[in-house]
Amino acid sequence: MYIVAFGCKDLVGNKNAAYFLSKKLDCNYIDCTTETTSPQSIFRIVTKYASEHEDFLPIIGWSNTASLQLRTIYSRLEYTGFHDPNYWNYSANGKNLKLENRRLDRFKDVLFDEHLVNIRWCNIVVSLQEFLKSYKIDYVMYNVENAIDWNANTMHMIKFIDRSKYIGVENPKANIKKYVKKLGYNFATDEGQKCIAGLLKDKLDSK
Amino acid sequence: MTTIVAIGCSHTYGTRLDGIQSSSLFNINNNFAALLAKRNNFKIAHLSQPGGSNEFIHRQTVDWLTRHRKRDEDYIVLIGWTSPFRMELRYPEDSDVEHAALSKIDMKYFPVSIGQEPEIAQTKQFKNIHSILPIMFEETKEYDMWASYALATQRMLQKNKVKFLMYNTCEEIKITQNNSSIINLFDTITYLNPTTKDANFLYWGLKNGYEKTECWHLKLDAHIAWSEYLEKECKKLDYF
Repeated sequence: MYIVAFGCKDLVGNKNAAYFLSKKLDCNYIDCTTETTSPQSIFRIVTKYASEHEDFLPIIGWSNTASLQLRTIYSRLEYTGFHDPNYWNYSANGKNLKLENRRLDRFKDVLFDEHLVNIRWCNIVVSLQEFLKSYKIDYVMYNVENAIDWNANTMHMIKFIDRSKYIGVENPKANIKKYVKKLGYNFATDEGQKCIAGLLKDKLDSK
Repeated sequence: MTTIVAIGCSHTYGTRLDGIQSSSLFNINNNFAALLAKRNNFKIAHLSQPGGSNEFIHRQTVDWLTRHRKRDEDYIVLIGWTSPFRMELRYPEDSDVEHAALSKIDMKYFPVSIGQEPEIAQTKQFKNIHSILPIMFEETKEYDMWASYALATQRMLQKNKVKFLMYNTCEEIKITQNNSSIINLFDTITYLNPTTKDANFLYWGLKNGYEKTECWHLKLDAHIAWSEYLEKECKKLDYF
């Protein structure tokens, strides 16, 4: 069994909670996190990973959901292996865009409209949940720092979300950063991440 | 009684089906999904939208499953995937601006596609959005996402024991370095010819001698023929 982390490289990947969870469960750890943090990017990578692998447990951390995955249009890199390095992340708070992409900034408010971002995210959570369950793949999702907004467009989808597999969902007080802070830990430390790993394990155990 | 749920873009919606109007009750009531329903005395739920993207089609399917589906009713969901070079934007929630279409979907949604007349947008910023479309619509990305949307939709409907049939309406899905393993998992009994050129509604129609309108839509005769084709495929699957 492999524990596979999906989401943001800095917040979810590297030696963060999923890594410590793999140690707790005595499993191998695979870091499938990337710089592209948008829900669409996570959706694309998880579906691709599931189509190529068996016997894995995805740990999906949602963060910086107001972002879009884009793919280089000039000077594309040749690649082999799982990850396509030509994908890049464009986020609402992103800076240092290449010259050819700077015109995107004029449409930031349109591209990252709060309702649009929320509906996309919520929709992808439900779809990914059903996708993983259809293959009988156990998983845990968690919100790193924000929550899905409950509104007329998302409420039916939110009701469909399996809360036994997802920490946070629409509750802004239940994201992981707030959770560790409440317990007196710092999110950015090993202790904080071990604490999150414990929570993820509890979630996996509570069937 | 069975309900046909039709999800797709303008080809499913019936745009220019009468050769004249882009959106009218006649067109909606005579698109291929409605014709299939009428012939078999089924109910019909129209959830398509002109300009709808594959992201929209995926979202509509999730929305239907979580909001509208009643567990004790019989449905056949018809999903017509569209050109990948499209996306959804949304007019601000607190503005009065809405996108005009005869449809029951969220009226704030504004579909954007390559080649679309900027004038149909209601605000200056939305009219100018075309300047960034070459960056937004990178080809591999669009085919990668289409494959993920289609496989996830297939698995979601299978898991929830919903009868469905998927097909392309105007373009085939292209295989990329990223999406080939996903495409290999398509169930080609329920997703008809996903990667075959000229097997989608539009090109199948043209190949069979049906006339297209100026804006590349097929008319009533082609809708009748496609509805008969879909009916045959549904019967092969023992849906009715």
